[in-house]
Amino acid sequence: MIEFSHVYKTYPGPVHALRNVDLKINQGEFVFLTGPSGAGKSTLFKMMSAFDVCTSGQIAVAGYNLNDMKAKELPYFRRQIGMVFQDFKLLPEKTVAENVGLSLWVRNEKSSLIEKKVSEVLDQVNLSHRADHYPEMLSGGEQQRVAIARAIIHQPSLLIADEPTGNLDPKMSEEIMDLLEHVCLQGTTIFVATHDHSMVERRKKKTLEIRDGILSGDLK
Amino acid sequence: MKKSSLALKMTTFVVLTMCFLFLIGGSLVLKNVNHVLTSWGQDLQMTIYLDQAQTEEQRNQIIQKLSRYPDVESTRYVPQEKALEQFRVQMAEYAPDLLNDPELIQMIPSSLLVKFKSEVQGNEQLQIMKTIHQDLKNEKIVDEVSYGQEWVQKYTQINGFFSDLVIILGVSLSAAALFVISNVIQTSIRQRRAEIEVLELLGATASTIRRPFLVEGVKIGLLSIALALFLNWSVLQFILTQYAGTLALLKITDAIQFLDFKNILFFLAMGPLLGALASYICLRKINTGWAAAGRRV
Repeated sequence: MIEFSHVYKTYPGPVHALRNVDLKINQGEFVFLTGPSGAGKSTLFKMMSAFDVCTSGQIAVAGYNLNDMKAKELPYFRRQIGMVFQDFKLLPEKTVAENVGLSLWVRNEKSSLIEKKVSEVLDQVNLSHRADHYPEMLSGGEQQRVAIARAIIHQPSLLIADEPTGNLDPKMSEEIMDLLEHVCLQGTTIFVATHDHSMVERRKKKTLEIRDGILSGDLK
Repeated sequence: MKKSSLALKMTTFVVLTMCFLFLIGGSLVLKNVNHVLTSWGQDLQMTIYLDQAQTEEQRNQIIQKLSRYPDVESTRYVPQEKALEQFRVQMAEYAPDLLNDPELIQMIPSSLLVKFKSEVQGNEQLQIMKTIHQDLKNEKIVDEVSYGQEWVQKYTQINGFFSDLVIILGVSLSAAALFVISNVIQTSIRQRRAEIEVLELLGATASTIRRPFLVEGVKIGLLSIALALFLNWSVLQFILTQYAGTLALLKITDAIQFLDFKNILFFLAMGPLLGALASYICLRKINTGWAAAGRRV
């Protein structure tokens, strides 16, 4: 599902954000990525979601070779993955249902299909009663559940979550992690970056650690 | 919609309507100046004054020569007696004493009146008249060729001036319209940056992201040009009603018209096309990951 081979990323300076990263994550795995701020987590996410290219090495995600990918292939690659962020990235002028349906709207799906799928996925994240509300009317945990619903509505093969519980209290954080585990059980590969070591220890999942651009842990 | 965004759109709409107002107004003025001058110039004819010692054969040769010009509609011979009669009728009221001067009367020559086809106008008409003038001036029986040179030259000059003015106005106002629409689209892109970023994250293609901005540009262009057309039409109707007496006196009421159907269609297409072009210029760099990667448009 995800394969990094001898990946280096150097920014002008020079700043070595990633050093010789080798990584393999299989379909259906649940993986945590930990590490201090500035260690290279965000760079790794940017590489994985094709928002940046590596300086050297090879990256393959969801069947796409990201090194050789052309600009016009980018949207089609992104449709294979789902992304969840610490700041949720919900559109404030759209309702919960409209936000969740965006993933299908960009694929020009019929509105009847979008309505049906939105209803199903909002059920799954227990937010059916909030469908017509706007994000600002929701709590942080609810907003993150909306973001997850939007990320999984098209049943991606990979879900990347960058600090998904960073803005939430412990109870909400547990709810979100339960939800992500549930999504993983349906066959989606989950890759979660987090600072919360206690939660990582409790969940007992495959864990990687990045420090100064060097990745360690269960890399195979 | 945010208040600032609405205000910007309203300002853009007003400025753009003004641009189109002047552009369409310029075309309208050109078209009507052309109509008026043409209607005044329709009676224009060439007069070839003949020597008194002419023979019928010589005169017929000249008439035949003129008939070979495809743009000449007719040539009519006015003998001296007829010319005298006309002169008497015209001058009877203004200068009755003049008619008693036998020498002056004898100076009125016979002539050939040449009429041109109505489709030959402006510079073309001037050139044909000049050619005929050159062709006939050395003929033995031709005393003088007169065709209101000054009038025709002024007519073509005025017409040329307005044509050039409308072209310059058209190019500069179109450029201004492009700039104004680009400005509002760029602001719109900045305001919707978060939305574009999310759409990119979700896998929207370039056309999906561009579509709403293109539609916005087309809408602004279409509405502005439609309003500008309506305002120009209203101003013309006002002039036709308010100055009906003056226009009738000048015999140009029928010559003043609004744009024809083809011109209206042209302008109705031009507004949205300018809008789409301005939007496209702003949107070229969108959806190459610029928003999420922190790159700017």
